[in-house]
Amino acid sequence: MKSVELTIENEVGLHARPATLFVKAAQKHQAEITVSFDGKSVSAKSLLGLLTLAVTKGSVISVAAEGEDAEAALAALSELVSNNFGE
Amino acid sequence: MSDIITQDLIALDVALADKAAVIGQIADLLQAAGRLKDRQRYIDDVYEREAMVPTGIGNQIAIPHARSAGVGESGLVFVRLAAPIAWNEDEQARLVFGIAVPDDNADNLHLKILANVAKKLLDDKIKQLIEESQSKQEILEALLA
Repeated sequence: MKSVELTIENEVGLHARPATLFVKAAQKHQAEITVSFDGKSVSAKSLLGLLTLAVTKGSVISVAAEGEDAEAALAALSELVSNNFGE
Repeated sequence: MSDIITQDLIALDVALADKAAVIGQIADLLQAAGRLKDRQRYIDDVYEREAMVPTGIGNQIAIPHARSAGVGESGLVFVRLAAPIAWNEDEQARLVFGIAVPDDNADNLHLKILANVAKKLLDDKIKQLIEESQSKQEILEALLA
């Protein structure tokens, strides 16, 4: 299991379009990817799940991945977040 | 959440033709419940938000929301359509949750309401009840539980 901590810096948080982009990026990978925040963990591939976390600007989320392309998955998600989802 | 939604803010199995009619219905319910200061302003803000980010989230669920100067008191509206309509380009909607929050709310209340609704919809039993129940009271209790 590999994991990274990511700080959400974009304006709306992990919500709406950013959340949709995050889920789509996660779905491109085979690995099981889990997002944890505020004591809760959900699949990175479920938009509804991600929305339950209510991640706002400035929050730090932990993303863990397990599987063959885990590293690539974490790299892709890290890049998306560090680019502020292209905002 | 307790005052956010009441039976007055729930409409079941209404026949509406398109997204504009649904957003109009949401505004009407909020207006009738005395939660809007400016109906048109609220509608404009919902459209502006939709233009930025369509709120269809799959599984025939849409969550149009706005933080708006047209809103007096926060509210959550649930409109269940008689038949699904096109919402975004590639999304249909039958279960529509409208979230309205005053624009001076700095507490991210709309995100908390959204998170709470999403949580309920992830539970298959609650989702089924929301999809099928004929009792507004039952749906209200499920959403507030």
